[in-house]
Amino acid sequence: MLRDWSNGDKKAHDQLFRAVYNELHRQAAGYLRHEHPGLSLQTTDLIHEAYLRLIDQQHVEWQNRLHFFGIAGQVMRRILVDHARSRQAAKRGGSAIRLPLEEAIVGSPAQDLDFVALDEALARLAEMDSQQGQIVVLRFFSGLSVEETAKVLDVSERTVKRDWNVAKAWLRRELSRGRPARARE
Amino acid sequence: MAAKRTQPRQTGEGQRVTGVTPEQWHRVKEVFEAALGHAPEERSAFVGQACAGDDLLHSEVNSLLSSYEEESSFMETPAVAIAVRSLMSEESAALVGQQFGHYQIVREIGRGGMGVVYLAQDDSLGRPVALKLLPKHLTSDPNRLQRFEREARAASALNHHNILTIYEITQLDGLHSIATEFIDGVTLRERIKNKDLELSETLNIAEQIASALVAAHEAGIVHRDIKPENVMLRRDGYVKVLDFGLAKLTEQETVKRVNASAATAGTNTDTGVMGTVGYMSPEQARGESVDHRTDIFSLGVVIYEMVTGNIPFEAKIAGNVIAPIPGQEPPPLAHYFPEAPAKLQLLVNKALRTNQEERYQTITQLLTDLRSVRSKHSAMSRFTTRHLLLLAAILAVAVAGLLWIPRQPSRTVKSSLPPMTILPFTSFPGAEWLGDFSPDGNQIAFAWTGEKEDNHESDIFVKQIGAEKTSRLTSTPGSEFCPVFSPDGQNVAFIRYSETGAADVFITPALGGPEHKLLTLGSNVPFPPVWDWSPDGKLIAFADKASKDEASKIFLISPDTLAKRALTSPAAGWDYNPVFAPDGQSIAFVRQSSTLSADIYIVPLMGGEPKRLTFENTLISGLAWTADGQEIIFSSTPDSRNGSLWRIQASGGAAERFDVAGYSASWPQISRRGNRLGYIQMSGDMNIYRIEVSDHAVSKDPPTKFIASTRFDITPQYSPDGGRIAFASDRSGQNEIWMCDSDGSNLVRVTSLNKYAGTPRWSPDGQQIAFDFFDEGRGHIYVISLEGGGLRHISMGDFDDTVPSWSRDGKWIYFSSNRTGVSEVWKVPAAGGDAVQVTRRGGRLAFESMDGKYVFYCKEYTTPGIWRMPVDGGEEVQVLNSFHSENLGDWAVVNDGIYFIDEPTKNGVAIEFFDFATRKVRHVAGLGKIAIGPHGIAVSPDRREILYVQADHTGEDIMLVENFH
Repeated sequence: MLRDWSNGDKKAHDQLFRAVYNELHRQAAGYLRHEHPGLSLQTTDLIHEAYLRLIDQQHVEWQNRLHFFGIAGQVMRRILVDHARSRQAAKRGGSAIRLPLEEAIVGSPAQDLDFVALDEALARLAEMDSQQGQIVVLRFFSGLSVEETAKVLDVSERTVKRDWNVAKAWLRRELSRGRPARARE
Repeated sequence: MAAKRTQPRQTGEGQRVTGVTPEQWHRVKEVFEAALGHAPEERSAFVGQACAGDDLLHSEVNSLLSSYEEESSFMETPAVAIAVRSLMSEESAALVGQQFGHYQIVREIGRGGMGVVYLAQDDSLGRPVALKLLPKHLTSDPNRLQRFEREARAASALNHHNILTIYEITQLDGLHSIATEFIDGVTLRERIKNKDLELSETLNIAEQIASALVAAHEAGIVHRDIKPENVMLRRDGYVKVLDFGLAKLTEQETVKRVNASAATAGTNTDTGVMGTVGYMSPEQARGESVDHRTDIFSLGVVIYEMVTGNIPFEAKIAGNVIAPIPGQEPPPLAHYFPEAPAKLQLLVNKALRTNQEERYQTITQLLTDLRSVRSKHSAMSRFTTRHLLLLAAILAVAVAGLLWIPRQPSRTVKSSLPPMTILPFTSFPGAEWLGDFSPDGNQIAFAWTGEKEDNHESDIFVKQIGAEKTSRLTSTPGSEFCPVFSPDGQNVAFIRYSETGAADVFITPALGGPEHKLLTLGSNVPFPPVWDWSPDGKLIAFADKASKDEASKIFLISPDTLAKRALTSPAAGWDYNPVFAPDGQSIAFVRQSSTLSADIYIVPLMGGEPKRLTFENTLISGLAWTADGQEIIFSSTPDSRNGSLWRIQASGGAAERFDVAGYSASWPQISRRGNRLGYIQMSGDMNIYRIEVSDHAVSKDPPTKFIASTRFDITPQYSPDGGRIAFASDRSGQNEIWMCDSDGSNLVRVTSLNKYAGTPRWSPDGQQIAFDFFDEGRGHIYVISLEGGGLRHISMGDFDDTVPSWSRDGKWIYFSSNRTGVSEVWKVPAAGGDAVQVTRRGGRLAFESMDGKYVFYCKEYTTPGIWRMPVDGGEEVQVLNSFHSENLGDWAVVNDGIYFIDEPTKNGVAIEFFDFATRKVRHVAGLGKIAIGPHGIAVSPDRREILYVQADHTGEDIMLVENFH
């Protein structure tokens, strides 16, 4: 019943990646120039925005919402991990730019989430429990609510809540242990 | 608030969950979920039971539970927000290297709700600036933008060392931007985040913020957004408050945004203003109008946070607004920081009152309390570091020996110092000039003009502190200045100018006896010839210049060998007032860059570049080292009067006012033991007098006191129709322009600039008045329209433009300026435009002849005479060769000659008239043995009356601070 979208259609993936990435850039640039007085930074809005643009282009047929949001979440995940990697590289190169970002802009306490470590831990979690991995991608990277996630995955909300709680506790513990030796590199 | 620190987990190696099978993992999830159904305290027991016999399951669930129970925002922010943030930094980095107007972006240095700040290079002036690009949505309303600009400029114009200086507010590529001085340092926010502040550091920072607010509030400027992000800590210890006026851009908007986010409360992305809400006063958060007391509340929050690491009030959404909950008491400081002084707690309580009527009513009161907390605190820390060691040593001896514990050490605690008291040391008529304490600190040598007020020649006197008798050491005709005790205390040396103008040092026994000349300092020693003798007696420091036109330097000369060397070499201006440090290794001196701008520098005796200590940009009237060499006390005078004493660490930092001495205090001296401080208290009363004259006869009627107050009333000018008189007066506190009818009635104040405004000059049509205005240590020419009161500046810049004067056709305004490095007469179109240099060989105080053909002017005091040259240029001709035009000049041009008041003769002072036709000087009126300003004279258009300024009393008394510390 659940398609394995992590290896989904390459073309769709690439297009969505570009669309989401462009949308993110557009928003980032907007915030930077402060064209928006208010602040409504909702992942789903952003992805919908990207989705609408893609639909307009009519190049891709989406198999279903799961397909779409799943790929969008993966795109987000890749953007963040790539960016974290490039920043780490810059740090090692000694040219890191420290960027204190006021909370007012992003709207949440600034947190230094190690996306590279998170990505690795999430991969291990998915190995052990692929549905739980998908829940994390949809909740965190795609920004879906518990209800939406349950609908997309066709499971109960209770399952989503439970898996999300356990996954967060597990990921957090893994990250606080420090980065284990990289198994995949 | 802040999450507890995550402890490294002790789960042991080899227990990586990757070793858990999917089946086991399923079971882990089940037990975990079931455990969450139990109360936290019961979970452990439940898990133990549920996992009986399965150690792996047990430890896995336990470890996940403790991870879960730790309060955290882990993964609560949607990834998209983090992604946008990451991309923003890429976007921002892309601006680097780009050109905005004459600024080139070097790198981003900070970002906030109010815009992104870049380090940029100003190509036109070749200096680094902090360039803030303002968000578009904040700059769309032109009214708000204007209010912001006005307030930001006003705050910057205060020229306060704790307020960030603004260079330019402008539009670059459609973006509004502010270029300010670049601060090499970190924000208080970063500082708090990275490391706990020491209490002493907290108090120091708070004091500097408060000091900035005192200046701003006095000028009627409220910051409205005091928070750690808006405070920069410069590397050298200076604290700079940023973004004055910026709150003007968001005033309305803040309320709107608060409401908007309250409406959608619950979504964690709508916390746009939460960051600063914690610092807002309750009245501000409620969207009510605020006054200076909102800053007091916000500073209270900042102090609380610096001490505890937490803000006192959690911002709560209540109804439609976010505000501290009334009546909710924040936890006491000691809850987080047990050593917090009780007085600081009281201070914070008083600053954080939700009702502004119960709060500190002025920031000055808060500052005073801060200082008293700090002085207590520093006394305590001195005790704990130094004296505890001493105590330990004494205890060790006591234990080893007699087991007798002395009680004395407790008496050495500094806080038991007796309070400082002030008493007048002299209150003679006339002027006393402070000289020097004797090495034992019990006598003071000083220069005094003597019992008679009309005597302008000073002699040297010595007086014992606490005794009445004053002994006179010199009685020659001519003046002696600046007495200094010889380092052994046996003799007193002083300066007397020779007939050729050289400054000679004479020496005489302190108990009286014959004097003899010790040496000649130089032939161009600037006045006052302040000099100093090194503590070991081997060197004398003084100021001199190679020729009249050059900058003065600090020189050292050996009284034994007369070997002389220059210690400083300023590019321009004057170095003077050298004072040896108590250890004799360095010299502090005053470097004056223009008429009204000077600062203190320190130079090692070994040589090297002098280091700038103060950033006052004011007049410095005297400085003294404390006995331990740790601090310097100096007198800073923002205009020609009202100086006050300040103290600053010799190692640098912010100067703080030495309040004990009050206003009009100058020329501080500190006794060698350090317990006594002497200074000069100045008082003065200048009034405008009127005398009736006739064209051809000597006046017989006595002059009358015409415009008078207890302060300075100077530089009178008749309006062209003779109906009104403009003058300058500081009767309202600051020197402003005033106006009255020619009979003295209908007195009105023309300017309210709150800075020194002087020398009013009527335009030929009588509709406008030009005057000079001193701001940030520089003089500028302004014109005020009497119809409607519009004010515009005619000349602005980094030089001294002073004493304006209109051309007879009203098209030009002449003024004196040091634009070329020396004083010359310049002129500028009255309608605005570029200044044109008029004189080439020195000139000041210009007047155009009545027919508009010539410009009359005088030169520096050292070059007596009055000159004239054709208005369109040409050769200058000296028309009067004997006249000394001092200060603001006592002369006035009429169609057939010049009225003037020259220096006093034996008969006193007289008004004289130089006739252009006969080229002779005629006596007009004798004024007797009075003291003249010299602050300008005015002749009525009908030439029946002359106004002049008389000094009715200028007193300078020596005051003594006992128990100085």
